[in-house]
Amino acid sequence: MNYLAFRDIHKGETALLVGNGTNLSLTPPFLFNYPAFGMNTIHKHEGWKPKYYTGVDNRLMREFGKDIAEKYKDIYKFIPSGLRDWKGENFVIFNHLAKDLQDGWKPETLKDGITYHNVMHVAMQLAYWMGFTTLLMIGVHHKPDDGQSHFWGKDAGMPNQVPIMDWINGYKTLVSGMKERGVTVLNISERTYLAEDVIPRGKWKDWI
Amino acid sequence: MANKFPYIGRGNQRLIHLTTPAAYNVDNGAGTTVDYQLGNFPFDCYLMDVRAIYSEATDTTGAASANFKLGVAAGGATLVAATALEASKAIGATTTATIAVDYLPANTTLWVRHTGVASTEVGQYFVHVLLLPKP
Repeated sequence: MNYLAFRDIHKGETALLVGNGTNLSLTPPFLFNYPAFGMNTIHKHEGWKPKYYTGVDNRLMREFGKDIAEKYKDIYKFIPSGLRDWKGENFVIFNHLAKDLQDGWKPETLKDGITYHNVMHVAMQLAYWMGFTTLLMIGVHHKPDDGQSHFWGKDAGMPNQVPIMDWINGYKTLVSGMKERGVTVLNISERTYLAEDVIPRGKWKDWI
Repeated sequence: MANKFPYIGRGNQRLIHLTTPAAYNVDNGAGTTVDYQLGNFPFDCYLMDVRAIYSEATDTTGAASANFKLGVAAGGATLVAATALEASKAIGATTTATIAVDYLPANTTLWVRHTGVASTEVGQYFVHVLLLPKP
């Protein structure tokens, strides 16, 4: 299926965006009954599958790609064109645009591709592209200097120091741009380190 | 010999474009350096713009441990201090450097140094420089 074909197929619905933070165990994704986007190494979460998946790093493809393709062979997996060598079924390729979210978000360019600083930025824009109007985020931890920690353990292949300011500025740009267009983004993660002025918070119990 | 191009360049036409002769590989080794000399001109110039242009996308973490700098000797950084590369850059995206000194006397040789990272970090880039001959 082509990336363009996903436009507005979930118009007006609520999406669950599932990060890989250590706090994911406090709000396990199976508690929620919304179409979900998993990302990166979410395949290590046993007993649950997202409706969609996205991963954007070459290292992810090299180190976990085979397991992800096998475990998630029946779901759509959105990857940038640079990862087109990722073997498996149901991969949907989008262009990684040579732009910067710090120059503003231009949703009219989503038909051409996606600009991002981290994989959650991609999931947010995919959800917007599909027409979701409420985006709920869980597993968003972002503890400073602890980039290796995930819900399943330490990922030694990642640095602990991540480009957090790029991530935060990207979140702010996307949240405000989506708000202007009638889309609500809420971080309902427990014990998140992401400030409320970056992504507004909500209570996860209100959404189960 | 007749002048083959009988016009006077104006505006951006006056600029000289310089690019490293090959792409730098971000993960060529922790602290491993690669130097290229970009040129030497027999007239004074101003340094107008220095940027990395990515020819292979970088991942969402890691690339910032590598850097490039620009000087007047191999490994020098008098013109542009060490400038970290950036994560999440698509092919064709750029990282613009801050110019510390913008005046180049005649017969100055320009050098670019790349310093890499060890881990298997994806990404490649060229360094592009714009010079303006002193009017």
